[in-house]
Amino acid sequence: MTKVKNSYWENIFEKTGKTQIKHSVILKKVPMFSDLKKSEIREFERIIHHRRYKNEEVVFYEGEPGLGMYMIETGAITIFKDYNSKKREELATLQSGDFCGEMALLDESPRSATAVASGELKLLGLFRPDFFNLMERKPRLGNKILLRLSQMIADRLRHNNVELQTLKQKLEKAEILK
Amino acid sequence: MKKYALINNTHDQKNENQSQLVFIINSQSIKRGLKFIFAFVILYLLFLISPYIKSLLFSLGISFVLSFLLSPLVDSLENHGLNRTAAVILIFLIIITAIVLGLQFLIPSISQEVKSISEFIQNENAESIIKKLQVILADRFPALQKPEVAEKVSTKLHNILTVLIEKSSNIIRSVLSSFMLIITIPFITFFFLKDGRRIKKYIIQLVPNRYFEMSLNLIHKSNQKLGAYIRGQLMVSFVIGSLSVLALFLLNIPYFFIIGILAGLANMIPYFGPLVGATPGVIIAFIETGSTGTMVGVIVAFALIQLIDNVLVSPLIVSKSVNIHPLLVILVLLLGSSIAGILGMLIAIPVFAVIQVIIKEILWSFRNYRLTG
Repeated sequence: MTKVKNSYWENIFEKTGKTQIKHSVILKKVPMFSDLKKSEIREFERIIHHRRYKNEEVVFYEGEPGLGMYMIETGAITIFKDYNSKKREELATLQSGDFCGEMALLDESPRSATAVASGELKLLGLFRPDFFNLMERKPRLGNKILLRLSQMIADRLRHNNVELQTLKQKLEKAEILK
Repeated sequence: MKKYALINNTHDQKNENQSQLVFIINSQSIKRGLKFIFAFVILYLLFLISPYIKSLLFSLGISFVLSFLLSPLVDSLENHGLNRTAAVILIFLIIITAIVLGLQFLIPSISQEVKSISEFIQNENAESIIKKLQVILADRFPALQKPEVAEKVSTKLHNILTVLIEKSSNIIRSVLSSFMLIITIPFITFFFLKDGRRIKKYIIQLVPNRYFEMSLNLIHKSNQKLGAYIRGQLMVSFVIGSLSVLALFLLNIPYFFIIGILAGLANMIPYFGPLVGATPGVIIAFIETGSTGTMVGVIVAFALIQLIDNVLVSPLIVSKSVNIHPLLVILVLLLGSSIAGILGMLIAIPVFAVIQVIIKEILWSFRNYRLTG
């Protein structure tokens, strides 16, 4: 992996040779795109943005309007809650092939946490304006992705419901013990 | 710096840390200041060379607006399975065919009108028009036959008409000299339409990470609002222009087609546009027919068209997102006319509206994004 000395110039003069990992491979790892055909993946390759970050560079801040999702090509991202305060809490570390911020593809609601590069980082970004534009141009493909996104959110909601139920039961037990 | 020196003179650990912090802040401020000066110098240099690349900027601006207007059509063809290049070529073929067919129908009447207008401008001078008007006015209003009143009216009319005739010859000259634009604009528009997304992606690639999402959002929102505004304004101009042509045709006013189109274009200027658009019609109706009735008819027709515009057309079509204060309209129009004459006046308000939308979005972004690390 090449060293990111200055992310600004690296973003402008990014190499596009054989050394670059095929973006379709990264996209295929994301559940949203996993069952897309080659030609459909190519449509997304056209609209994704490539960004490079240096160590500890902030990808997005908590509270900023969300614009889209990021998929990690190489490197890692650490997700923080209250990043700029003393209460800073590390929530998760995402590795190559992981993704974050997919909810921002649906609306402009604020980011729920801060994402920071852990080491040198290369990201693929898919953003709402380009995604909506693609949906208008290719409604069938757009519907496919929206359906997958809804399924992912529904899965997460189910998982959260189970967790909530477990917590509720634990709380009730604790109340009884008191 | 005073604070820095004071802290630097102390020896305990805490103060040393503070001095380092102040030094870092100072070096960051210097860097930011230098960047600001650099950006200012670049902007100033661009401003300096702008007169020399005026026609290039003009071509780019018009092509940008045209690609803005045509992109929904290209997108919808792309939705139907055509690739983008083929879609752009098809749209260009349709437009060229429409222009050729349109000109075949309209050329006889337009060329006749243009010929008559140029003959009118060549044969008539301010004095002869004043004389004509004096005869008509003296016939209609005997009070004007008093020498002092007639003299005053004559001087005023002379000044107004001299300016009008000078300006109209300027327009014709600028139309002829901008023949190059007719070739370059379609060429640039073609590539804007075909590679617009790629160009946008490349530009956004130049933006530093911290401002990347903000810039993408800014471009997207400005695009949406501007697209709606420009399309809306052109639709209204088309409706007003068509209604004016129809009304002038029914009133049997000569040069009805050109005057109607001018009225439609002038309608883009808020508050004063309708007045500017109606004036040539009223003057020509009076000079050519000499009938006060026809002149009143033209005034009533334009007033009715304005009523239809304000009550029906504009509320239905134009986005209300761009509101400009009347005083600002005057200032912007003056600025437009001082930069590019009548054409400047015509495009001043749409350009101002564009800048206003962009500034609004930039301010929104400043409020919602963290711009410092």
